Amino acid sequence: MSALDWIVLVGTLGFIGLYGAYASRGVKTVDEYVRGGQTLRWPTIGLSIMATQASAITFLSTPGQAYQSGMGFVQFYFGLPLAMIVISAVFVPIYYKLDVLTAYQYLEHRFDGRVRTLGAILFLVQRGLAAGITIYAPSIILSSVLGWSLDLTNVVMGVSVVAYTVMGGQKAVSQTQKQQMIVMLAGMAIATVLIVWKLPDSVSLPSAVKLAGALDRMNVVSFDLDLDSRYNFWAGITGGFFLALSYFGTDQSQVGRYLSGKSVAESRLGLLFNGMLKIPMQFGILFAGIMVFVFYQFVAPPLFFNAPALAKVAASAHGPELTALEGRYQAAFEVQRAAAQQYVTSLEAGAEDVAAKTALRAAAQDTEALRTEAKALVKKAVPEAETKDADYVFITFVLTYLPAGIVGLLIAVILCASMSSTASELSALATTTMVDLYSRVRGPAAPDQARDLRASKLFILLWGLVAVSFATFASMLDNLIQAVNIVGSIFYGTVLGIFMVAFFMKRVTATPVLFAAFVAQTTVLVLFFGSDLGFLWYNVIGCGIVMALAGVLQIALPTRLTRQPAAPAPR
Amino acid sequence: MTVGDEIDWKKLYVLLVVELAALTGLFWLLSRWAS
Repeated sequence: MSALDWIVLVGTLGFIGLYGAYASRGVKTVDEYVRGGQTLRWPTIGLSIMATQASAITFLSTPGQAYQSGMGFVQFYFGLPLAMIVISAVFVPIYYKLDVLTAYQYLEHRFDGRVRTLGAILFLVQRGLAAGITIYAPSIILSSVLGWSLDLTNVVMGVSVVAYTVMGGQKAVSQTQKQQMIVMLAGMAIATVLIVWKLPDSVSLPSAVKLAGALDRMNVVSFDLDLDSRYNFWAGITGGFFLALSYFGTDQSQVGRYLSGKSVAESRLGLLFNGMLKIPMQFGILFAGIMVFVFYQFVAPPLFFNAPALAKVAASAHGPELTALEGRYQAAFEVQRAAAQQYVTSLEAGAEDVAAKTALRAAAQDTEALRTEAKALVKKAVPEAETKDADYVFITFVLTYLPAGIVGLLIAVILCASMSSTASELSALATTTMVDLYSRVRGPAAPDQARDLRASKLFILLWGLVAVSFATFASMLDNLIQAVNIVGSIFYGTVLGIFMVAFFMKRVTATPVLFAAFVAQTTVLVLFFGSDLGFLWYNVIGCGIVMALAGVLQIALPTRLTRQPAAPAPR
Repeated sequence: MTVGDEIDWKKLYVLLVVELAALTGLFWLLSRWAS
């Protein structure tokens, strides 16, 4: 990174941090701290919701995903607008009417304390681990390509987020997220324009898109019904709908964003704003990856994008093998480049050369086979290295080909994304710990704003320490990271099912729903270990079982188990 | 007057669904044209 990059990076982050501290000055009550005093307007809420979901991995991995597998990932988000409608229409008014601070508070009102505790604990376990990943995942990539110390990167990111979150609570989080989202969107737009500008003069944008399509990268929408495939229209509309409904409707890291709204209407508009922008935004990020892919049809890409890992192979006993492989790869790439140029020339002339397209596809298969050989070599020479290098594609391109200043801006984008997601997570973890566990364990006590405010800040600090510690030790626990990513998918269906029963099946009481949640969770786990079902379907199945079984048990169980307890006293 | 007094929520919901349908259609056409 050049001096200009550092100036842009530090300047952007510094401005955002100071702005957050300024905008949230004078927070005195727990309500202001936890719900921003419910003063936020819909643009801030909408941007805050988007910033919470868009973590660093969105910007690091998504373009790489498009580079490797095409645009199909956008279908993952097709259910999101529908989920925003349901949440706006049903969830938001109920949360506001009951004046809750957390989503799980609602569960006690509707069922009993046991269900509230179950919901809160499921959230704390899954989100607590995820907060560490939100810091660790970008750190491992940035530190390896930029040469920064991994532990220092973890600590700097964690500490800076904890600092402004502790100082200003929910309001600081939302105000900084507004700035961060603007930086993220502007940064990606600038990057995409630059990437397209860097394509050879002989390649127009339509030809670039067709070239990507010729190599199976423009598979944006697929209507094939294939239960094992992750990304198709049906999985997106149904599984994606349930996932979004659970994440935005019941996960406190998102619920906390829109409960800070001035009114039901402001919250709803913020959610619908997210619903309108999310798919175009994801399309844009994926498209940046496609343009990088097209760029690399004319400029030789690295044999393996994780350069530090490749350097280790070169320095090992397998170095000569790598050199030979690189030689073959260069030769194969030249054949592919020639075929790509010929194909594009025919497109520009208005008459697609099918033979050139066939030759291009065959050449691409050859280079891909050599990349697979390279990955096997990396695994042999450096067993602990990650062989999936898609996460490194975009950052490698940025560092190698984009001008000074823009590099700093894009690193700022990635750090903003990480910080914005982590801030929401920490704030949500602290609020849930405070409201759903600590206050209830402490028992009834005279209201004391100062004490409660101190406790809220302390919980943010503690969860921040947990997140940074986990990020620091995560490098030793490679498999745990896989498991943690999976945990979210496995639990979301059950939690959503509990809330769906709460909202829509008014006659079902606490005990049936608890039993049903247990059965649903067990079923999803059995399916996970025993089948190849696409992840998105777990949300549907978990939710469906909770709802169906809870309804049946309400009728089948003895009355003494299904009696509705009295609603709890006000908070 | 607060935001929301004059908003027709059903119309907004329909707009979101229409946007989703339009984007799906556009993306599908793009897939067909490019591949």
